[in-house]
Amino acid sequence: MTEDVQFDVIIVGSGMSGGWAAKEFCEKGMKTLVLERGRDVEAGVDYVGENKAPWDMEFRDRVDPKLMKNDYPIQSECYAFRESDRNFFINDRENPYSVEDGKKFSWIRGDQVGGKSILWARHSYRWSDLDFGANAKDGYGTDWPIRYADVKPWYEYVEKFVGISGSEEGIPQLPDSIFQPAIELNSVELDAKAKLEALHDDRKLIIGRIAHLTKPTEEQLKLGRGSCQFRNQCQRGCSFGAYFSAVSATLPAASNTGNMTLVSDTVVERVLYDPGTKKATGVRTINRKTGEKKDFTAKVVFLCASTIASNQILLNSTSETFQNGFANSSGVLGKYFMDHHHQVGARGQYPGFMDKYYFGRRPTGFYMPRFRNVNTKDGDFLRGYGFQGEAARPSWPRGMDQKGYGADFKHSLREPGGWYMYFGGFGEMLPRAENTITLHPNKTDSYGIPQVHLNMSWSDNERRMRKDIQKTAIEMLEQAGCQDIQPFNKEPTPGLAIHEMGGARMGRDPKTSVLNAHNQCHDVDNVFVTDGAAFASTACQNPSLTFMALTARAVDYAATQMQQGKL
Amino acid sequence: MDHHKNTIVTRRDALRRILKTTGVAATLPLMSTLGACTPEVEKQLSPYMALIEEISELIIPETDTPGAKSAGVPAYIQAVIGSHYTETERTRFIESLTIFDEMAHAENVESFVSASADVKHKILSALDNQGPSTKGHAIWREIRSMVIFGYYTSEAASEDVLYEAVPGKYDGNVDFSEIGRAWMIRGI
Repeated sequence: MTEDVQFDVIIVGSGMSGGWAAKEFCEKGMKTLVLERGRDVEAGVDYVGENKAPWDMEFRDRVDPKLMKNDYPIQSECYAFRESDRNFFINDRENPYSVEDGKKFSWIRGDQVGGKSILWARHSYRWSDLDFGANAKDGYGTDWPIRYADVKPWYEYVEKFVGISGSEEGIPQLPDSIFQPAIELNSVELDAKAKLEALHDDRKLIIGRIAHLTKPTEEQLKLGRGSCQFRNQCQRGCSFGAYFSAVSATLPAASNTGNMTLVSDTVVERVLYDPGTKKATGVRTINRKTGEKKDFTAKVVFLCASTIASNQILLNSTSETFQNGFANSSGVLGKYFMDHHHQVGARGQYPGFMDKYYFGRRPTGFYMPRFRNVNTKDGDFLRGYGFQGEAARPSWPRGMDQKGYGADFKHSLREPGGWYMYFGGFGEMLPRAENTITLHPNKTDSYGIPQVHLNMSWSDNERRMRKDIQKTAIEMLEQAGCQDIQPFNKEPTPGLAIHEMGGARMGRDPKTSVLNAHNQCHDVDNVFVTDGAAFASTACQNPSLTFMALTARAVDYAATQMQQGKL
Repeated sequence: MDHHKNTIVTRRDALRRILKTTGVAATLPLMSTLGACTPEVEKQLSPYMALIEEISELIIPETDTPGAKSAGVPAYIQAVIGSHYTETERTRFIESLTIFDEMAHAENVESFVSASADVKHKILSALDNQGPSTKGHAIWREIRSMVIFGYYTSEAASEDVLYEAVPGKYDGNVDFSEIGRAWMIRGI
């Protein structure tokens, strides 16, 4: 069955990247079809956990452990998984995938319009030439076909729309964004900043740069977005539209043009290919409520389904021409799959400042940009890491770990405990061919589509880097004057940084990469991949801002080609 | 303090207006559990509720602010045991509770609930200070955690610690005296 309407563009996925592709194409006057496998989400109305006080929930925001075990054994590993936002996580039981024997991979997924952009931690950092040039420098992975100068105008472009709060610092390896006013560091963080920056001229402790409005623009206000209210319950959804998501920002902007058709509950099975024209003709979909299959056609297809799902679609889009996966003449499709490594650092008690506290629930912490292997070669590992952290005073939950009961115990919890501070590293993972996304030969999902089979493990480079992260975190806590320092280094399950990247990497050579410098398939010029799948390396910064910038950039290129009749 | 309070009131009013106009407040979540607290389970738990109430109030007593009992902690514990625990966990929990009466018997009292205030404190103090390998340690830590969690996530506890649904701003450098209480952060 074929849809009659002729669309200019089909966008697969409606999250971080898909929302941007939709907005950009629609604003350029293109008839745009957005296909989302999950259910529809309307801003505000579907934020079912929002505005709930703890006591409004019978189990105080805890998820039934039996339900977790049955339906969310993987999603419940996500730090943000709670009863009040469970509606934005996929049901693991209904959506199986496969992992290599003896290995682990936790695939955290949204299952709705807006995807994981509703659930993200909102940290937004530009990459620099240290990152885009990393593969060329040490030979791991293939060279990015772009540099910072190519992306810079697109960072500026998306930042004006998204709204990033942060402080201007002039750090070459972490270029400043176009910022709205920064959220504050607290008293203890400022104290640590002064001490550490005096000792280390290569380090800066800055406020985390997050996609929260602190001084909304006219454009943002017109979309119904407003300033952050410091509730820090973002993952439930925010009716103030204060943090950026596809549902709060890009999809409404796309919808306002009248050019967008958004179809939810529609799983894309494959990209359709015409060997005669050597172009994609559209996509085959499965309605997940009825099981009905339906083909949609368009001049151009953008895959924005998430790193793993876009790989899955490409791998499943086989034909006589592409027997090993769509646009895969290079044979690298599904390889060089990556995530960040985290869950390593240290925590300590910060003496003093007992007369200081804070007002409001801050939705970010501090950030310390990468300082290893920047201008000099440091240590016994390649690449680098950044730190995220926080200083705070513990509240009543500390009472559960202590002894005591009765009136004195109760009254002791009225005051917050002494300050603590922690540093947690986020490290770059080397691109390696043996970390792969493939399709399982026999297992299928409930739509009959082969399950993805994930195979990722850390290398010694990551392990050596983690030792340095831990040692450095301890040193800095000592230098800040902390006591009772507790290091942590739990080798994370791959996937849990939720920064999956790679598999359909960009590159200069069609023989060794899937996509060119414009996220366009080398083999099929009317198919683009603009989510994390396109990435040739991970840097150590959170990747979403770069997903957005590269998507807007790719749309600009594709639309120009279309207007010139080349696509 | 006053400055913050004024801000809060304004924000609350603003939020109320937003809720009214968008109808957000009307969209209640469908909070689901596997196996709700059935009448059978309630019946199974009812003989122990007096004991659970007594222990709850001893852990977080009423002072110048509400205690665990008026905060609804026993009902919260009943809901957790009834709905979130498996049958095995529930049976184990109920069996473990016998330690309180056993310790009361050792003090020549018929039951924990009927013991004098002094005897109750003697028992709880012993449980609170005993080592992890001792009988009674696990149930004491378990019920104590549930009481603390249940209390500090209750509306009544917002009289004891500070809760603001919509703080409206973040100030990272405030004198503690301006706030005066610990924030009622969400538990989990």
